Amino acid sequence: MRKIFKPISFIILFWQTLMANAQNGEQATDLMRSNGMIFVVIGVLVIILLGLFIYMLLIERKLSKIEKNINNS
Amino acid sequence: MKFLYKKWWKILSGVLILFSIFMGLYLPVGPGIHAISPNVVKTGESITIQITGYNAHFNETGNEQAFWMRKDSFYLCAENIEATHNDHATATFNIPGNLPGKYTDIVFDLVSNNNIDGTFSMIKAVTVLKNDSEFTIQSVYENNCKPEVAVNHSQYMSFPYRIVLYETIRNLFFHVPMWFSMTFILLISFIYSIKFLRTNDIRFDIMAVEAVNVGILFGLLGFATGSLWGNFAWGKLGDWLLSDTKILGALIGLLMYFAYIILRGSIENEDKRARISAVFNVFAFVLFLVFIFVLPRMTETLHPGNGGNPAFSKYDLDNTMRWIFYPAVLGWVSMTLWLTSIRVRMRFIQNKLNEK
Repeated sequence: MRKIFKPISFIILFWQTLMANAQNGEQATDLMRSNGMIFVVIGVLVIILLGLFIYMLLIERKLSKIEKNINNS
Repeated sequence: MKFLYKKWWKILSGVLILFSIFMGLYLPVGPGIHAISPNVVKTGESITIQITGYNAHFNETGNEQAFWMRKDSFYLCAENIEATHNDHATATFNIPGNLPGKYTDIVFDLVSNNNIDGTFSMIKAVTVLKNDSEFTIQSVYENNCKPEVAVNHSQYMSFPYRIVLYETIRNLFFHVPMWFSMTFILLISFIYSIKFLRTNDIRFDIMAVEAVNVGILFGLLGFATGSLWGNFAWGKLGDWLLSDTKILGALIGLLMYFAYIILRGSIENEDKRARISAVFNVFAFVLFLVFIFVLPRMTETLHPGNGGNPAFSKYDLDNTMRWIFYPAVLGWVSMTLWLTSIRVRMRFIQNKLNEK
């Protein structure tokens, strides 16, 4: 269970600090709203690519486990 | 099954996704009217209105352009148009002394037409107030012009300009296919769960669970991208995230599939686990469809295409967007299939190792 909660709690903490910063200074939102909010589109693309990248890492970790099994048997 | 081992559709998936990302970022948004000032005028005055365009070609198109105000079948054309910049023009209107009908004020749309951009407009742009001092007896009003539309469509390929959305209209190619892919891969999982219940073949169970796994990934991506987009298009995240029907439906759907994963983890016996989770999956998918497609249509939500009217009407998607949106959906859907097949093949190898 700890394995699952560690990354989740990390993400929540990260999100909270991000939100707190956004409320303190308006600079981050100003950038996002500039040029017809094109940076929102960039942000969405980054989220998708990052998500796929992390998923690939998880798949690779699983694959390494199987490889270990083959080598042991 | 042999289909999963073929390469051509994986390459096609990559090509389609790259195409959608490239075209989705490359084509401009517009033309549109971004702002006008002043936007409140009085009857009987001659007024020069400053018009700010968005990716328009006011200057380039030269003299062959027209601006007019429109309300139902009542038109009011600009007399004198000057364009100093592609996105900046001034138009002089001679507002008549009386208004048609019994109105005290009328809100006009402002329409622009030129050879390059075609016809585009700003809805509810100008309010004309009745000037009391120049009150005249109402007479049958005649239009001072009948605007001629020579070119209706923009010469360039572009995405429609929408206030509130602006450039983020491009997110349609990235956020929406996430949910399409999720629904597709959950449908695959549903089919394999039924197949398992009919045949009791453990391989079908593995396919079902791996499909759900990929489905959850795409659901989470849909959530993350949607909350970023909505934070800027709909206002602060907290105001709508847990009060919008469609989002709540998606959240409950996602939680059901989390429950599916946890349920599987809690049953030791392999045969029992496969059977119980297959039954759970069948119900979960049906409920998921209800939550995400049926319930949002019965109530109000912020998402377009809900609250009674079908999505993807001509108002949501124009033809340029269709040419990028459908390839994007096809690309991402095959991507989910590819990811699932990789995971399934890994699990098959693992099972063979365990049997030895």
